Amino acid sequence: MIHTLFQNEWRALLRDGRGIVLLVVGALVALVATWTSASTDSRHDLAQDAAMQAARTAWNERQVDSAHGRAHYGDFVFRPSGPLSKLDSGLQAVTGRVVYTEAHRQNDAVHKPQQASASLLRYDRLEPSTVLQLLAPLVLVLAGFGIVSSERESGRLRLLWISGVRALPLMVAKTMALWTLGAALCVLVVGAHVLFADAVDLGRTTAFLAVHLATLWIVAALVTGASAWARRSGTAAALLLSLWVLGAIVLPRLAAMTAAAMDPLPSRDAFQAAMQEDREQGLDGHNPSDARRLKVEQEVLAEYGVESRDELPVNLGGLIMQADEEYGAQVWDRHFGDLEQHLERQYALAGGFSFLNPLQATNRLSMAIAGTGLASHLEFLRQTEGYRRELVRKLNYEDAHGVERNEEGRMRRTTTKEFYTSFAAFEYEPLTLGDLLGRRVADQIALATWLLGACAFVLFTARHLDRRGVL
Amino acid sequence: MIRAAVGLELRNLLRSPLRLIVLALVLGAGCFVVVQGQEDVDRWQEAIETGQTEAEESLAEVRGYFAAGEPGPADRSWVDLTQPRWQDYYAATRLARTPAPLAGIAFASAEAGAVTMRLTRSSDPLLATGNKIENPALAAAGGLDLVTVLTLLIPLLVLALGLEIGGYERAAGVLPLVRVQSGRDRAWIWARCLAVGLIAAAAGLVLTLLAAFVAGAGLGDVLPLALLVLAYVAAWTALLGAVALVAHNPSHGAVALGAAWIVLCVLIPAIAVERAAALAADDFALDLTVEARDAGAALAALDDEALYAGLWARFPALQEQTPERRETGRRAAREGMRIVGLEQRMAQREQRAQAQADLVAGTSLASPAVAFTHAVERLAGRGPEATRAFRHAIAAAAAERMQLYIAASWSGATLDAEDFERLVAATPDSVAPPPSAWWRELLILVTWTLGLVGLATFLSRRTPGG
Repeated sequence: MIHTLFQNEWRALLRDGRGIVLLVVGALVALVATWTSASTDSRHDLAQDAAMQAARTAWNERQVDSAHGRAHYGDFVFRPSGPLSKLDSGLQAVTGRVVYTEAHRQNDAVHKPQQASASLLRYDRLEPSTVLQLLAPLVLVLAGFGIVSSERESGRLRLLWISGVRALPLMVAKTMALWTLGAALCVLVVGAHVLFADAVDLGRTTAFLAVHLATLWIVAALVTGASAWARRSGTAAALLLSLWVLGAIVLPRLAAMTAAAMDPLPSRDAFQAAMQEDREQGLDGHNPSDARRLKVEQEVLAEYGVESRDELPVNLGGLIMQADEEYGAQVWDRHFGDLEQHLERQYALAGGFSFLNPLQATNRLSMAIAGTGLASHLEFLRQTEGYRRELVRKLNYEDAHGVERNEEGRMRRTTTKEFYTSFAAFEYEPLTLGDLLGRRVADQIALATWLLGACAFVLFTARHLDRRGVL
Repeated sequence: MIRAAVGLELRNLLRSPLRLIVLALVLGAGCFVVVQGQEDVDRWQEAIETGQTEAEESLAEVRGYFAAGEPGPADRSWVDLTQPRWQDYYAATRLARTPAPLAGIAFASAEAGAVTMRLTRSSDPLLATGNKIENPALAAAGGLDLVTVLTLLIPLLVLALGLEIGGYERAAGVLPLVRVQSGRDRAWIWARCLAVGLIAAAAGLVLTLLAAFVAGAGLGDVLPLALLVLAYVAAWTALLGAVALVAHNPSHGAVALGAAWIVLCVLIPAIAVERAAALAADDFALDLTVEARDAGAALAALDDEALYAGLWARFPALQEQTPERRETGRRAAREGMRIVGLEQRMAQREQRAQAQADLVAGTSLASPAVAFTHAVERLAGRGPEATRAFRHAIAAAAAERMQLYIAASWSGATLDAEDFERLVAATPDSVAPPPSAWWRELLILVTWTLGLVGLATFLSRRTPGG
C-alpha cells in the first residue's frame, strides 16, 4: 500500500505546477552552485600551488646568507582547501590564508581577501552545502506544507479513509515522497561533484551524502507532520516557513552569539601581553648582556671544556637561539594551547543548539566531513607551527655547527646553497574522517536524536489521526 | 480608512499569540543585541585606552632617560636615544581609530580591522590586525547584531503580521462587502498593509532610538539610520501590498511572501557571496608576502641616482637637504623607499578590493536587504571604507615619521629631548571614521518601494476581482 500511495504522491507532485517549478528551480540552483563552487575551488587550488611555488623559488634562489638571517627571512605557508571544500567551504571565508613562519615568533594566519565585501559575509555562500542545508529543506517546506492539510481541506482524506487507507502508511508514503524530492537534489549535487571533481574521496563523499539524506528525512517528516496537525494549509505554510527561518537563519547566529557572550575570548592585547610576560622570563637571544643568556653560555663553555667563546668549535649564537626557541615553544604551547581549547569550548557550547536545530548539527558535521571546520583549521595551524619549529631548529643547528675556525681562530661559515635548497616545503596532512567525526560526537548524537524524534513524530501523528478519525 | 485598518491590525496583533510572539522576539532580540553592541564598543574604547597608556608609559620612560642624561635603558647598551632610529622606536605613540557614534549596531560585521596601531616609521598598515580574537567557527555563522535584526527580522515581522492580508479577504469573500461599504477594495488592502508597515516601522524605530540612547548618539547620527529603517520597512510594505493585491488565499500569500523574503534576503546575497569567493579565489597576497619581503633586496641593488630620484619624488622636502653619502645615509634613503613600496602595495590592494566593493554595490541594486546592510554598516563606521581610511592615516603618519627620520639621519646631528618631543607632537593620535555616504542606498530603497507599488497597481488591475 505504501508503494501505491508513494507513487500517487509523486504523481500529484508532478501534476501540481508548484512541484515541477520547485524541482526544476531546485535542480538548476543545485547544479549551478556545484559548478561555480568547483570552479572557484579549482582556481583556489591553482593559486595556492602558484603561491607555494613562488615562496619556494624565493627561498631557493636567495643568495646564501647566515642560517639565522634565513630564519628571520622566514617562509610563507599558504592554507590549502579542505579535501571536500568543493561541497562545503566551511570557515574558509573567515580564516586567514597565509601564515608567516619565522624565528622567535608564532604568527597567526592572516589575509582574508573577502573582507572587502564585509556586508556580504553576513550571508551564506551559494555552494552545494548551502543548497542542501538551507534551500533543499525550503523546497521540501514549499512543496509539502499542504501535503496533508490540503487533502483534508479538499475532502480527499475522507475518501482515502473510506477506501481503507490507514494513517501510518499514508504518513510514511507522504514523508517518503517528500524525502525523495530532497534526496533527488542531494544525489544531483553529489553526483555533479563526482563528475566535476578531479579526485573523489569516496568515504567523505558517502558520509556527506548520508548526513544530508538523514537531515532531509527529518525535514520531510516534520513538514508532513506539521501539515497533518495544521487545520489550514496557510497555517502550515506560516508555521513551517517560520521554523525554517528560525533553524536556517536565527538559531545559528544566536548560538554563535550565546557562546561568545557566555565564554568570551580575551582581547588580542591581553593575550599578547600575557604571552609576552611569560616570554620575557626566558632568554633574549639578541641581548648579549642578558643574564639568562650568560648562564647558557657558561653551560656551553663547560660542555666543550673551554674558557672563552673564541675557543668554541661551534657558534654560540646558534645554540642560544635554539635554547630561546625551545623556551618560547613552551610559552606558545601554553598560551596558544589555552586559546585553542577556548575556541573548542566555545564551539562545543554553540553545539548545544544542535539539539534544538538539526540544520546546525548538519552544518557542523558537513564542515567536519569536508575538512573545512574548526578542527581542520586548528590542525592546519598546529602543523604550520610544527613546520616552523623544525625549520628554525634546522637553521639554528646549522647556525651553531655550520662553521669552522681557520688557523688564526677566526670563525667562518660553511653553509652552502644546497643546505637551503634541501628544505622540503610545507605539506598539509588533513585529519582523517574518523578523527574529524570523533570530535563531533555530540553533533552526531543530536542528529540521531532528531532522526529518531522525526520518525516518532510521524508515528505519533499517524496514531493521533487514526484515534481521532480525522481521516 | 487608515485609522480603521490600524485599529484592526492592532486588534489582530493583540488577539494573536503567534503575532505577539514574533513581535516580542524581534524586540527582545533587538534589545539584547543593542546591549551586546555597546559592550563591544566599550571593549573597543578599552583597547584604545590600553594603547594610549602603553604609549604614555613608553614616552615617560624616554623622558626619564633624557632627564637623567642616560642614552637609554641600562640593560640595552646598544640603544642610544640621541640617534634618529631609536628616537623613532621609542616614540611609539598609538594611532587610534575612533568608533563611530553608532558603531555598536554593526558589531558582528565581518570587517574586524585594527582599532589602534603603534606608530613607527616602519608601521605597516596592511599587517594591522584588530584587537578582537575571533573564533572563526562562530564568525562564520554570520553574527547577530542590530543590523541583522533590522535586515532579516523586521521584514519577517512585516510578513508575519500581514501574511493573510488580501488572500484572506478573497478566500472568505469579504472583498465584495468592502467594495460596497467603502467603495474600493484595493484601497482597503493597501490601508491594511500600511497599518502593518506602521507597526513594523514603530518596532524598527524603537530599536533605533534605543541603540542611539545606549550609545549616546546625537540626532544627526540617528536621523540617517531612522530614514533608512523607514525606507526599508516601506519597501517591504510595498512588497506585502503587491502580494496581498494578487493573493488568491492566505496559503498563496504565505508562499509568495516567504519566497520573496528568501530570494531577497538569502538567495541573491548567497549568489553574491559565491561571486565574492570566486573573485578572491586566486588571491594569496603574494604582493604582501613573498614579493614585499624580497622588495628589500631589490632596493639594495638600486644605484644612488635611482635611489635618490625615487626618494625625492615621494619626499620633495628632502631635496633641500644634502643626502648623507655614507652607507648610513643610503640606508635611510632605502628605508624611505619602503614607504613608496608600501603605498604601491596599498594601491594594488585597493584595486583588488574595488572588485569586491563593486560587487556589493551591484548586489545592493538587486536586493534591498543588501542595500540596507551596506548602508547601515557604513553608518556604523564598520565597513571596509573605515578600515581603508585608518590604513591611509597609518601610512601617512608612518611616511611623516620616515621623512623626519631621514632628515635627522642625513643631518648627522645628535638629537635631544626637544627633538623627541617634536617627533611625538608631529604624530597624530586618532582618526575619525570617514563620513558615510548613505544616500545611494536610501535612493535604492525608495526606488524599490516605488517600483513595487507600481507593480502592485499593475498586477491588481490585471487580476480578476482585484
